[in-house]
Order: sequence, then structure tokens, then C-alpha cells
Amino acid sequence: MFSYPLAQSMLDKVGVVDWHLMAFVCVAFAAIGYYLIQYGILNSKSMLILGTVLMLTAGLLITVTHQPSLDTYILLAFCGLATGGGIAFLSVRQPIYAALGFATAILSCAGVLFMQSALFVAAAMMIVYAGATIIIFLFVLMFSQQSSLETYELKLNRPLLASLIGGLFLGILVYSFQSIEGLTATQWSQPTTRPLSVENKLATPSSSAALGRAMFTEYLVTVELVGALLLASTIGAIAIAQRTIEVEQ
Amino acid sequence: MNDTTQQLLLFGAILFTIGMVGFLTRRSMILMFLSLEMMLAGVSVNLIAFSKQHQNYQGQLLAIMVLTVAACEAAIALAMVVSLFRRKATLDINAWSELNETPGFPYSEKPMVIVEPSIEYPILTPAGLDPSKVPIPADLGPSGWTQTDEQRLRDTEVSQNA
Repeated sequence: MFSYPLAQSMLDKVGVVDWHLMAFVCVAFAAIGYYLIQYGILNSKSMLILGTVLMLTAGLLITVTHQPSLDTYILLAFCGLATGGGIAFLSVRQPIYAALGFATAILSCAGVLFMQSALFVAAAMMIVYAGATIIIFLFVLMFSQQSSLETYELKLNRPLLASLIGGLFLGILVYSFQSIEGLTATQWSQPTTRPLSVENKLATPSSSAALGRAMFTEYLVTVELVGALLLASTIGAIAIAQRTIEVEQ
Repeated sequence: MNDTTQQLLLFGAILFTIGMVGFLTRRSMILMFLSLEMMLAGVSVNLIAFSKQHQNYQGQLLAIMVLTVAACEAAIALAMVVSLFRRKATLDINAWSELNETPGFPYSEKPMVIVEPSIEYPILTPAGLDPSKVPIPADLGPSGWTQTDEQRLRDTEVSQNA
């Protein structure tokens, strides 16, 4: 029917994609996001309990049907916990609770990275995000917070439009993942079938040492550039936050 | 692509989307910057998943770079929040909406009202003689300024004052 190979390949690519799943993800995320953001459903305890029960049920279902290994199960649990923290971050109005939801999401994210045998990155993420960023943000919140909720925390900026954009974005991402898998399945499966040498075993405790060796030998320029960036941002932060001195004449 | 990598890509996409929606909806500047950090966390999950997939350290190095950039961004953002809060005593991002592109954007809450300045001219006190009543001496000719004219001028002045 189509004589052009390009059109044929494009048709093959479209045929792989599950359009229904994509449309479902778009619409469902937009609707759920809109209701969560607009009405703050998470504030009522019954919805919180319902969400927890749903998550536990999904975990049980996955256990029964797929029978994953313990690693996969812990990984999925961390993923679900991080997503729940993110949803709490979106739907809670009090900024302190939103910061706690963010901390939950980030710590679970560090757990995911740990399960993906990126030990050093997981530790650095915990230190940088949960240790430094959250604490400093909480300090700023404490200094600037009034006793009651402000109007700018209750009345949000166009939640319907934002959740529609988010749903569309997520749908496009799911589409692109599926097309990657369909187009280049053989290409992607190439590196994983490579036998693991001792050097390449990422999960061993000495992997941090190997990472450091790679960082300071192969990728030294990167480290230098990042150091320069840190220095520049330090100087910039000091310059911006400096209180202007009024000169008396 | 194996199964775990795809799940992690989906997870990173969800984190990124949550951060993006939070950035678009929130009005408090601090929570907007927290949303930015969540987007960066989603990106680093993707990088680590690909690092595991390809069994090398490039993804982890990029994730460390992302962490460093996030730390820099947090420092700059906090400095900005502090200085902006010092200016207007609020964390609302809409307080800075005069930095918008066009005031006529259909979603803008406050339409811009252009007030035309009304020009007020100064009111002068009348002085001198009224030329419609008194003949101007230059109109009378080269030898027009006579004794009688001066006399008549003086008479009109007197009559006006009276």
C-alpha cells in the first residue's frame, strides 16, 4: 500500500504505541490533578485512608499476579511512596506540610537510587536535598510565615490549565518511551547482555570508589566546571542577598 | 529496554510532571522552588536508570552534576526570595506581575488603567490696558501719540478705576 519506506516505518512506529493507554493517562492525570489541586482532597482524613488502602491493595495485587523479586518489590514500594509524597506536596495548602511531602518524595527517590545501585548519588541526594535544602527552606518559611494562611496559598494559579498541561506532558512522555521500546528493542538490549566484569558491577560496595576514580580521571573537566559553577553561585548568592547599606550624608 | 528501566522512566516522568504542575499552580515563591527541585529529582532518576541499563558511570556522573546544579540553584533562589521578600513583604509571585510581558494578556487579574494626565494652565491676573477699549498707540501712525491721546488715555484710566 505504501511504497515509501519512511512512511512504512512511521506507520510501524505508530502501530506499536498503545494510544488508549496514552489518552487514558492524559485525561486521568489531568482530572485527578485538577481535583486534588483545586479542592485539596487530601485534607480530609478519609481520602488519605482511602489512598493508603488503594496503594496497599495495588501492592498486594502486584505481589499475587506478577510475583516480583524482593528487589523489584522494594523498588516499586519506594516509587509509590515518592509518588504519594509528590501528590501530597501538590494538594496540601499549608507550606510546612507541603515541604514534608517534598521531603518524603525526595527520600523515597533516594531509596530508588539506592536500589538502582547508585549508592553515592543516593547518599548525596539525601544530604543535599533532605539535609540542606529542606532545612534552609523551612528556616525561610519560618521567618516569613504569618500566623494564618495567606490568600496566595489558598487561591492557586489556574489549576485546570496546569493539570491539563501536566497530563498532556505525561502522555507525550509515555508515548515516547513506548516508541523507544518498539523501535530499538534490539539496540537497547545490547548493553545489558554484556557480561558484567568486576569493574562494571555497580552494586558492589567498592562501586563508589570506582565512581570516584572515574570522576577524577576521565571526567576531571566536568568536576572542575561544576566547582567553578558552585563558586559563581556562592558569590552570586552573597551579592544578591546583601542588605543595601544606606549612606548617611 | 528491560522492565525496571521502563518503570523507572515512568516514575521519573511522574515526578517531573508533579514538579511542573506544582510550579505552574503554586503562588508561594518557596514552594515554586521546591517544585523545581522535584523536577530535577525526576531527571536524576532517569539518569540513574540509564546508568544501570548501560552498566557504566556516565549517568551517575551526570546525576552528581544535576545535584550540584540543584544546590547552586537553591542558594541563588533563597537569596532571591530573601531580597524579594524584603522589597514587598510577601511571598506571592503575583506581587511581581508587573514584570509580565503584556498587560493585555487575557488571564491577567488586574487590567491596566491608563490615566491621562490633565493639563492645568496657570491662571494669570489681568494686568495692563484692554486693547479693545483703548486704542493701541502703534496703530495711530508715526506721529499718532499726541497730547490729546495721552489725555484721553488718562481719562479712560480714571473712568475704569471709578
